[in-house]
Amino acid sequence: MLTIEMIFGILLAGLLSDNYALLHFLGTGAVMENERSTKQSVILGLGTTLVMLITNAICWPLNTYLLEKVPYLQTMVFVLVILIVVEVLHIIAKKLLDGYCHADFVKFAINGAILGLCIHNVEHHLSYVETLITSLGVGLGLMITMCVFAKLKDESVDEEAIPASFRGLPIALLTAGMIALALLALNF
Amino acid sequence: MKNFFKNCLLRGTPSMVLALGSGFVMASSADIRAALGMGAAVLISMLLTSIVVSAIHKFIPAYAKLPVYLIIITGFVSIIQMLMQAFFPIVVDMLGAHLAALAVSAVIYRDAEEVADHNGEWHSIKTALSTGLFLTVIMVICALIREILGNATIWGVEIPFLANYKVSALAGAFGAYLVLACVLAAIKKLTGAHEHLEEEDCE
Amino acid sequence: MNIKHLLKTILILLCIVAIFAVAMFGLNFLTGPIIEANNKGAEFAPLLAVMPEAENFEEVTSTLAGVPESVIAIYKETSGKGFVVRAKASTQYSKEPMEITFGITADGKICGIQLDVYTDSIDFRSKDANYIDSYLEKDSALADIGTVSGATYSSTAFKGAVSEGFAALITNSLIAEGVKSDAQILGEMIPTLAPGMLKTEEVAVSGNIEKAWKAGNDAGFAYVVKNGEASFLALVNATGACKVYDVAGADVTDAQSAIADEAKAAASASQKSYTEDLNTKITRLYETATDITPVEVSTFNTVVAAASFKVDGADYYGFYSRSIGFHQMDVYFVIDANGAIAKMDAKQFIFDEEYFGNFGGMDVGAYKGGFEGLTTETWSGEQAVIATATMTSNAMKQSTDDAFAAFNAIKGGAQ
Repeated sequence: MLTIEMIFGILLAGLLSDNYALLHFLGTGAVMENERSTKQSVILGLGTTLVMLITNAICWPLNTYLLEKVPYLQTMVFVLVILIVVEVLHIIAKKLLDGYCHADFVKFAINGAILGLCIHNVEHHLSYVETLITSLGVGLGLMITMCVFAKLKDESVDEEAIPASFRGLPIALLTAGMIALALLALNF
Repeated sequence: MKNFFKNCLLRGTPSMVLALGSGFVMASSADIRAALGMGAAVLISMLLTSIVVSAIHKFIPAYAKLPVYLIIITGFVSIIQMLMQAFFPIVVDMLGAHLAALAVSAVIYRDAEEVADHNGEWHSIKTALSTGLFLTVIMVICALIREILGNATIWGVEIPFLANYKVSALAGAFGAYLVLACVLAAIKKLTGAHEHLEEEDCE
Repeated sequence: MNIKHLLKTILILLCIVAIFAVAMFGLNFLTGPIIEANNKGAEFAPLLAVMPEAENFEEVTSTLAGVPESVIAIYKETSGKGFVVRAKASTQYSKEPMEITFGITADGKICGIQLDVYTDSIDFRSKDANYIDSYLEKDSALADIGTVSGATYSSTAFKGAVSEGFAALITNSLIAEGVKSDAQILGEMIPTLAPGMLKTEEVAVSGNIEKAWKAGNDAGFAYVVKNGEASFLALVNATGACKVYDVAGADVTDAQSAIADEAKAAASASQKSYTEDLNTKITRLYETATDITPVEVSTFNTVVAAASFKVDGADYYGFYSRSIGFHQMDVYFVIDANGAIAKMDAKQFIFDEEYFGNFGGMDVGAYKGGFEGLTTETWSGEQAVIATATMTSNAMKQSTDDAFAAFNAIKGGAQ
């Protein structure tokens, strides 16, 4: 049975020591090219977390009961599920949160982290509850990473202080690397 | 043709592509076999998607583009995944979920949506080829540095005299960021593409 | 997005999914078997290492009856060359169970053996590099396979796992059982007949004695002694008591008194005596103790010395037990005439190595005090538990049990 400590452990792992975008390189692209404000990042991050929760809630039984015989259809089915969930959420969100939801939610939400998480969860034979908790932790981890990056971009970085060749993506990568290094330390 | 490669391989490929693809580039740059495998997968899936999308884009209504293109990419990625599982299982073991995650990679989707959707086959193929090759070259360069210095192996074979001097941090996640950043900076320096030339289209 | 658009999108999607699904279904005929073979290859690689000439394997674990828990899986070589068993075993020193893979040919001999996972703190491979290879060519009797000195627990567990693998095959009549010599059968009876003889190791022999073992905790000796054609097992405990058993495990001490005498003589020549130690301890615990007399106990447990003494006219018995926790434990008990523990003491409870500095400390006085007044009725084992120190707790339990057993043996004998 899952204890409170285990639940917090899984959540914390998703947030920090097992951060998908920074340490597993899943969804890194979506985080790196994030040009949104911190507030928008929070909304998008929460949306992605919701997508993760729902897709995993659907993919787990699909994989357990239907895909045993046809493992090669796994990616296809998972992507379809993600697509449907994202579209439906998008339609609902447009009605409920007018002004806060952006059209690029659909594009953003379809990132490697969600699919990677579905595959990770079924490959590691996690139980249904574990799957859901992991999804929550990983989604929140993704949100926090996005916020950190959005905040970093908000702060006016002294471009002149960076060598010309390192401006832009390289320095962003190095920054991410530093954060990754700090998170890696939690694994020991 | 020469100009095309110079433009696309050295400076023409938008840094946007790398930002979007940085995930799988870093994930597969720990081992040369993984880098080549991932490179091939990206290149082939991009090429096939480009061809199919540029052939059928006229029949797809605008509102259906995103899901349809994504499913086409997913289909090709799944097929490549099956073939690699059969013939290069070691690469699949190393790449893990990243190979499947290619299906939703923004790089391939962007290529399909922004290039193949508006242009003819020939142009789409050229762009797909150049982007794919560019990513492959970056991955292989990173993998050479990370595998040799970080793991003291090359193509999985141990290099005896380096075994005692390996920098294991390079083989880990931090090494991926560090090496990719340095390689990109070096390319920028070499090609003189300092400012915002990256967003230029090829040709 | 209106309904018409939605339907059209779904239709297009379905078409594309169908096309790809058919393509993948077709492709699966090509790649499916190869992928399966690849997966099997990865699964069977460790099996091939112990049976290189094998052609293919088939897992038969679920078809067999009575497979012990320590056996992870049994594979059958499809062309009938034999079986490969994967088994696990753990000791109190194991962080994770050790995992062993070994191949058994159709005629029941080990053709290859390797240790896949091994995390015990002491590596028996470094103590005896040839130990694992000594199993090669052996049948289920595992004749002449002993334990590794200095890594007794780990090597015993290793041997046990191999035996259980054999047992699983034998109970399903897949291979023939190896024939054990009388000496071997007798030797294997030691742990049941003399559970206090821990970490037994073989020692040199003389006279009619075929084989001899010495307990690592000095709790006594075991001998296989020949008398004519028959062999007998003679056990001598540290207080000098002796029992003789035949191959069937029956107590034949009275009938074979010559053997008992020989065993006693052999044991007394090399048995380390703990009587002096115990006497010193008693006089320290009870300054007014008088009439300290060593007592022979007939139990074959961890009690290495016993003595009766008087304090102010009351009768007391002192026991010295040597159990093994993380290391050797030296525990003293004083039990009064009514069978209640009057005092308990030990040389040392906690060994730093067991806790790697994480141990917060214990109230030694309170712990010792917790034993006072316990009788066989009130002793439940709980009183010996030291939080976070499992090995020490278990050793303390064993020592307490043994002291009570020895006390009862003395009392029973006196009545």
